[in-house]
Amino acid sequence: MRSSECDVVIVGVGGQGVILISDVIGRAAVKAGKPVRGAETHGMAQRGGSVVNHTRIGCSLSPLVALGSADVLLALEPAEALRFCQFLSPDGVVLVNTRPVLPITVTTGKASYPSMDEILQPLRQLCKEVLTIDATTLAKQAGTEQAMNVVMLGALSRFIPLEEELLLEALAEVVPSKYLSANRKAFALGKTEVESGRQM
Amino acid sequence: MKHLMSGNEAIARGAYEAGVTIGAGYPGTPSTEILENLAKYKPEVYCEWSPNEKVAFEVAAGASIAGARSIVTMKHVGLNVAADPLMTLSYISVEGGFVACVADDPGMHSSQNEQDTRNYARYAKVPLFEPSDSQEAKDFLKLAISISERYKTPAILRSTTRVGHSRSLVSWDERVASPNKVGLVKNPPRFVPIPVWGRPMRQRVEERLGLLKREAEASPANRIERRDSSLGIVTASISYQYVREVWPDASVLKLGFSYPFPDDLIREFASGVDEVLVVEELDDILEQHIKSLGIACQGRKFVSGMMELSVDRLLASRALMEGREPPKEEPPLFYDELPPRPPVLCPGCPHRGVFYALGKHDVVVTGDIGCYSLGAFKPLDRMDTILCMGAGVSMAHGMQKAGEPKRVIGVVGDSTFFHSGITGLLNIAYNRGSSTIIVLDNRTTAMTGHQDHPGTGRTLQGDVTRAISIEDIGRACGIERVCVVNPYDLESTLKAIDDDVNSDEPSLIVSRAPCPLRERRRVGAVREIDADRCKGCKICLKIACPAIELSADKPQINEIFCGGCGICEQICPAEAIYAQGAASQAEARK
Repeated sequence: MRSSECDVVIVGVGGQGVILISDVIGRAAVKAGKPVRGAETHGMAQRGGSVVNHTRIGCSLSPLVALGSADVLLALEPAEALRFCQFLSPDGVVLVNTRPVLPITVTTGKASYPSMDEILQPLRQLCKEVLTIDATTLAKQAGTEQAMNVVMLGALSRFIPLEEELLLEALAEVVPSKYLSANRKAFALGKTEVESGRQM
Repeated sequence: MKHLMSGNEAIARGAYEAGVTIGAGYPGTPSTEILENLAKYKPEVYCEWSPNEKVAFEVAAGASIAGARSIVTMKHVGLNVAADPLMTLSYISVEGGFVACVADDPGMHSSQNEQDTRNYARYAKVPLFEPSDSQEAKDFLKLAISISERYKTPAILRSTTRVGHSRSLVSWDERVASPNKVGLVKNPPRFVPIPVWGRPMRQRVEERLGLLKREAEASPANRIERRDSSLGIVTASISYQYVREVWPDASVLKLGFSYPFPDDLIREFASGVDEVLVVEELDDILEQHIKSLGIACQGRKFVSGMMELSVDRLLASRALMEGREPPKEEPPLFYDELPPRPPVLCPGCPHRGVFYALGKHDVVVTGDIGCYSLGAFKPLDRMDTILCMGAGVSMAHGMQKAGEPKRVIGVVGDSTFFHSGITGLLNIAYNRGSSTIIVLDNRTTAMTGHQDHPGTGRTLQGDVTRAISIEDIGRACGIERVCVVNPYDLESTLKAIDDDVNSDEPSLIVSRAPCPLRERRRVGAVREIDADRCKGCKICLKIACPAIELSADKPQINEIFCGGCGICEQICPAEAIYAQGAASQAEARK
């Protein structure tokens, strides 16, 4: 039995801007008059470690998404998509930024980073659709690499029950005004990338 | 209009609406944002970071006894530090509403242990409130203030990581200013618990508990939700949300004002259902109490008391109860194949230089709580123990006195030094110790998100103040051998440690450089590795810098991440690391 309208799990690495995405979704949901709940990671877990954020649109109960029930897994980093794939519903969609952030265990040669294929193959078997986005490059095109998270938000906008206009309004509330145009561009690039990717 | 707020923001909003005028606390995940948000209601509310939780508790207690409404905030382990004033404030009673907002961390997301603050409410005989979402966080804080003021008792509002760091919708109300006049009404038999007055206080505490029990029985914060009568679940806090998802048809007794236990309400609930299940995170406090009432119930048999609960874990509990095979608690699917991503010291972190230097010495390092706890991980691997705040200093002395054959160096952060390192240092000087203590002074309380402290020269509400000198405190404590080093200068850091380790005197080294994450700038120029000069020895990988990446056989520096600290440049035996552009300039000059 569903206890929410749409469950999103956003994962990445501390410092990539995971919380901003959930903040924008939350604000947009409030504007749309929908109940929304979410849970985030703070403190020790943040310093370059894995970060996971739960956002549940149209939900009035648990702030945490249950295993096997995320409608969308939004991964700002590819290995993190696989690390948290157990949240994905078999009918779910995963959006993956293809640019790795190498963990210290890899940069120091203690572990190896999986190939893109090793990451994407299992994801394809777990859920309905896997979409890859070179969000870091697109963000650069938009004017700043920092807007990678907003490219991913733009991509996500195609999969959540919130109007684009409300998301953009919410975006304007959380990014500094001098970066707003770059961020709007980043949002649009992410959205278009998904649309063109799905036509293929 | 409703507002999307975290539980912590909502607690702060509740304090504002309740007419609180004083807030004090010490940062600690997952409680920190309560006071950070309350501080924004300046000037109606005065807020401060106190040096530790005991001080913060006493600041709020003083304010309350003088008539002001006040709150104090801390994480669960902070209440251990503040337990002393809690236990006796319960006796001498309060005047203005007083609430200790304490955040537990089931699952140890950001803590050294799991402990259940509900025990403290029973221990100190004070009322306990447990919100299950942000709206309740706000409402219960206000309820706690009013109960506290009416019964002149301190109250505890217990949240958890999933309450404080979850977000949900909250409706706001106007602030209602406190009608209390501030001014101590002199009354030693009430406020001075020497035995002759303390014994009657003890009586009054017991009488008060009886009255509070009646209050809890009738409180709207405790409610029975009648559904199917075959199963009734008693629950509180975030567990309520999980219960509603896992047993949508079950009857529920939801406790929000959970101590003193509302026994009549529990009996009434239990008599209307066939079976009673207790779902509580951490200790089996409710279960044991309900059993003591002679009511048959289940709890721990199906619901674990370790680590945080979740819908998934309770689905397994439900299966177990219903005689079905529960899904196994397996590690996540690809857990073993993925490279682990542990938290690490940031690029440019000044602590890295000290840990590198400590790595050159065969010593024992007693550590402490803060970002620098990460120095315990490989490859730095230069912290041998952590106990609690301040123990990095005191335990070094104890080991030394016990005859530890290696020299012992205690390592403590700046905020932690002010919190509870000073008395340990005083002890070393007084009891003829010989330990070396290093204060990793990065000019902020970094791990919890850069809060100010007595050494920073700024207050929580943005006022400029005197910056207290750690060196002066060290000297005042009786330590004569005191020096300050720049941790980015490895040679002098190494020398300072060398000198002190070889001396019989107790000593204090202050390693001083501001946290670059707080400063929001690089320490110096971005470094690069000259691939021709690099011999591939990989010594630079030993400092665990996230900016240095091994590609093929030789390391490279990721210029986006590089913090420009230059520590790698100083340790490279091939002199292959330069400030960006400097290599080609050097080449051109030849």
